[in-house]
Amino acid sequence: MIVGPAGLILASSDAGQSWKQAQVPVQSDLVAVTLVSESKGWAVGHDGVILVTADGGASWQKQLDGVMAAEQFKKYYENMLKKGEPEAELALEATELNYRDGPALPYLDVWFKNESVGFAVGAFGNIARTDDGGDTWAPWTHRIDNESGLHLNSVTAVGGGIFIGSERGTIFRLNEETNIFEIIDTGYSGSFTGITGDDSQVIAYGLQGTAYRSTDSGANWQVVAGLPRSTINNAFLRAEGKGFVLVSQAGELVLTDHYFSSFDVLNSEKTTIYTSVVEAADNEFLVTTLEGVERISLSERKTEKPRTQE
Amino acid sequence: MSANEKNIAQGEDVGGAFDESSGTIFERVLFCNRKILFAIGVLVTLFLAYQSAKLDVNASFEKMMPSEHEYIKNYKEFAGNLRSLGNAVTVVVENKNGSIYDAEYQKTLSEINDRVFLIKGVDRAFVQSLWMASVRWTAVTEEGFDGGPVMPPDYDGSSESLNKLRDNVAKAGLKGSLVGLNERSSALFIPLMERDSETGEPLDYKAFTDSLRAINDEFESRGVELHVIGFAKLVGDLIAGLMQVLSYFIIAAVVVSVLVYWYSRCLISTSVVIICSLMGVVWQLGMMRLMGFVLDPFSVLVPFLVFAIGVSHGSQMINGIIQDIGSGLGRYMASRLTFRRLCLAGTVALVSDALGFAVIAVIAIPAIRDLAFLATMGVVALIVTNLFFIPVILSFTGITKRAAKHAERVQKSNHSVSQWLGLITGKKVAVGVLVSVAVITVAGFIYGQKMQIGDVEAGAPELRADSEYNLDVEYVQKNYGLSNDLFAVIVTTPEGGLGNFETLLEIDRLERLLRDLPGVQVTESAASMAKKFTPAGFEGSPKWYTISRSPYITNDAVDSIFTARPGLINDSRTVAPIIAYLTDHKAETLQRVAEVVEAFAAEHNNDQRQFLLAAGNAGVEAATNQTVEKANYQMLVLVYAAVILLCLVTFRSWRAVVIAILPLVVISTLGQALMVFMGIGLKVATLPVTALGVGIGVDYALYLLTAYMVFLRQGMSVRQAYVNALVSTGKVVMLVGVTLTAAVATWAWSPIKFQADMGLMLAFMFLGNMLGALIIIPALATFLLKPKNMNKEIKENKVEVKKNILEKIHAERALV
Repeated sequence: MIVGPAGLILASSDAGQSWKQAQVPVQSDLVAVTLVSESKGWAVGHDGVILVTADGGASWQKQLDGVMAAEQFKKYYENMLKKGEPEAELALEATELNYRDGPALPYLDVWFKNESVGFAVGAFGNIARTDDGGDTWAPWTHRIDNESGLHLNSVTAVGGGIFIGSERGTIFRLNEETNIFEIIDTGYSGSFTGITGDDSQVIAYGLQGTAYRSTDSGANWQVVAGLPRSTINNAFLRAEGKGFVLVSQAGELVLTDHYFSSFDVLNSEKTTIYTSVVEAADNEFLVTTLEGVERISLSERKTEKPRTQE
Repeated sequence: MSANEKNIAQGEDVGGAFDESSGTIFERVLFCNRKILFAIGVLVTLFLAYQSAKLDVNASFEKMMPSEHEYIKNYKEFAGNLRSLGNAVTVVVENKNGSIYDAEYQKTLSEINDRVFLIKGVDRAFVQSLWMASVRWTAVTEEGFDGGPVMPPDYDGSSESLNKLRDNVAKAGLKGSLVGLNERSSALFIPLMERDSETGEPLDYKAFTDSLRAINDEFESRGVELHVIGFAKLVGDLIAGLMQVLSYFIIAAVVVSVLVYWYSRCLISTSVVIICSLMGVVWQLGMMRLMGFVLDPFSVLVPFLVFAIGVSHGSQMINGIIQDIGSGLGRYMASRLTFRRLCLAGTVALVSDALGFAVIAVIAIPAIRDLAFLATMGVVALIVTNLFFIPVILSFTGITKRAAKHAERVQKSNHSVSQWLGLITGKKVAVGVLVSVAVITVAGFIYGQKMQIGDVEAGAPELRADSEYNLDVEYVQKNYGLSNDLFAVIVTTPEGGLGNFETLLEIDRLERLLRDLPGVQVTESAASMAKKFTPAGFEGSPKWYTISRSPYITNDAVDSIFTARPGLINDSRTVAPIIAYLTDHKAETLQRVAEVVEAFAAEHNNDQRQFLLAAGNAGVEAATNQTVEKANYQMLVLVYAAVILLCLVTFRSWRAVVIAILPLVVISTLGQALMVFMGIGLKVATLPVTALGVGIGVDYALYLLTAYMVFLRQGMSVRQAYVNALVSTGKVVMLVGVTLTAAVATWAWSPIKFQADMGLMLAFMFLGNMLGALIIIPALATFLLKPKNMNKEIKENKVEVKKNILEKIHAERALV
């Protein structure tokens, strides 16, 4: 399933051979999609839109948008204040600030634990959580250590932990006991666009071919060297120990082993940006670009080694 | 009566003495003051010759636009705000010996850069090339943005600095814009100033193009080749082509002179006709300058027409004089009598030609209106220079003896060609001719239905496909990937309205519609550009590839567009183009785009935003196509109405009108088929061809049928009457047809494609109408205009016939 500009959602059930356009009630630009089962999934995007499908992506319903959120979230914190919960004060301020110039701000990523519990994260520290499959969304601004309102670029679960990739080398990890996203400083100064990994390691990737690696569930991080120097937009760990695959802003598809010890690069034949990647079949990748979907077959193409860094 | 008659007789007695008080007042004034008038004529000619020498040359595209079409009105209203569609040239410097990452090439490029930079008219602040420090690369880093000039500041020609340059080009994403896709060429983008910022003088296109040519010639030996495209280069090439066509005038004049000499066999009268017709051309050009016109690719053609018409009408004048002198009259008397005979008829013929030109003025395209006006003016000048001055001059010079003898001999010959053509009046032959003509016409009509509107070949349609300019266009298109056919929609909003989210969204919607159309390569606008610039505020993240509802984010993006691509948005944020790059400029492609935009505009225009058509060369072409298609029928109706009216007045017989008009219809139909066959579309240049062909072609029928009917009235059979009509006027018909054809045929070699098309088509029309008249008229007359049809006519025209007979008696007496 892929999402795109102007409310475009396409679904394929034959590994990307054919696509079917879904019925979508909005024309906002969509940026992320997640599925928890064959039928159930969510998509998020600009104007604070959250959409849900219950029929495997054929039709979608709106659960939240910027206008609704502005009203509901403010009311939520005003109520908290009335109940005398002081942490609501800062959160209310941040919420008011975010919706001051209209309902524009996007959710940049969405992740669901199961059919009920999920998070949507977005620009300027926007975060919302649901416990009822998205029927109601509640703001979580008071439950994240994000006083400076950093962009929350991605949210996902790796090896039992729930992580949010953010700016200024920041990662947030959910403390399931306190139900608070705690801040982790990796030591990096730029942004992380996404997080991936498995039980043994967490990988956070971002600007200019940067990747950080943690083998202790995100407590300590080491920089990964040797990646091509362009922003990594998406990455995942392939099945059966075949290592990671990453796609970049410069239209590169990078293959590496489980330990990031060597890299093989496939350059796009066009000038384009790769935005995300999936492995549709063995050694067959589907890459989304700003111009559409590209199919990359490893058997047909020759990889090269990344050019040496200066 | 017979004061006149007596005087003529007396005059003849004394061998050239003449009653000066005979003839019209006009004639008396002309001939009694012939020395003074001749002197005045010479002075006027000298003055106008001086004026015409100062004629400016230019190739104004604006004049070729249909000025009353809504698209063009919109374009003109907002042209000042559409800077991206403004005047600029792209100079591509190709390395003949390999990649651009080569020290030798870069050295040459930097020298070329410096030279081009200094050409007068270049808007230096906005020049872009690898050697301009303003061309920079940027990258998102952890610290924010990093960047620098693409040409490394410490460039020294070493392989390290060449590698650095290569890296910077990649970082700046210059492939396809300033660097060719195959890395064997790089481009200089040269915006031009319409007016010099200091002197205020308009840009001299010719000088600009010449400077570029000089640079190419100088650097060619160093292994590079310059490919220059852009409006200014096109105009420069058109001006060069126009000067070349002007030089063809000499060829046309020589060919026409030979024809006239062959016709008259008299060096003196040939010179007189040529000189007087040249005088007509000089008058036309001089008056043109006085009225503020300039020579452009259309008006440069007028002298050819004026000259040919002048020569063919002048030839009739000398024909009369030669015949009179051949019959023994003195030169003065012969001139004066011929003038008396032909003044009115000649004036009417010229006026009808002028009328034919004037009809073209219904087409609301300034270039065509100018053409119509200038040609009409030229024909009016001919009335003075040819009808008046030829007899006046010949009354001084006389003709050569040889010519007089030749005239006598021709009159006594057996006229074999005329006899042969006369065979067409046999019933069987006539049926054969008519059936063949009908079959050919129907076939031509069916084939001609495939006529295209507009131009279809790639490149600038003004020039030939294999012209240097179009080869350069092809090179740039292939190596930089962008088409040269731009269709722009003009978006207008109230003050600051382009920062509005909904406006940008609407622009984006239209852009998406256009992008999905077959024939559209890519689109560009403030909306799609805003999407590209918004991620810049968010570390380049593609998730921010959006038009944000937030006015802060959107305004930021719009501000960046204004800085980076000032052409896509104006200062006050009220005007912005949506530019569609088209794969070709076929009429259907243009029409498809125009229809989609019009439908969108009808639904989405409101007081916050208007989507207006159209700008860009393809937009202008769409408007031109629409205008031309409509004007074609309008003009045909008018020109046929005019010639039918003219024929009715002249013949006062519907049968004669049918006979005169049908050959014209046949040739017009075949002309259309020829256009399909030659791949010539209906366009600004070919639109007036049919009207010109019909307007001048009707002359043939006028000559032939007038004579034919006179002889028929005298009681001759169809064949006798037609053969006699041919003997008396057939030669003139042929001379007119051949001289006109010869004059316009030279255009076929013009480097300017539309002139060549026009020349080819006009030559076909002039020659075709002549042959059509000679062959189809007798065949039709055999059935439609027989002696028995004339009985009624004779009764009706009794008075006139009497007058005719009377005149004949006069003339015969005078000749005795």
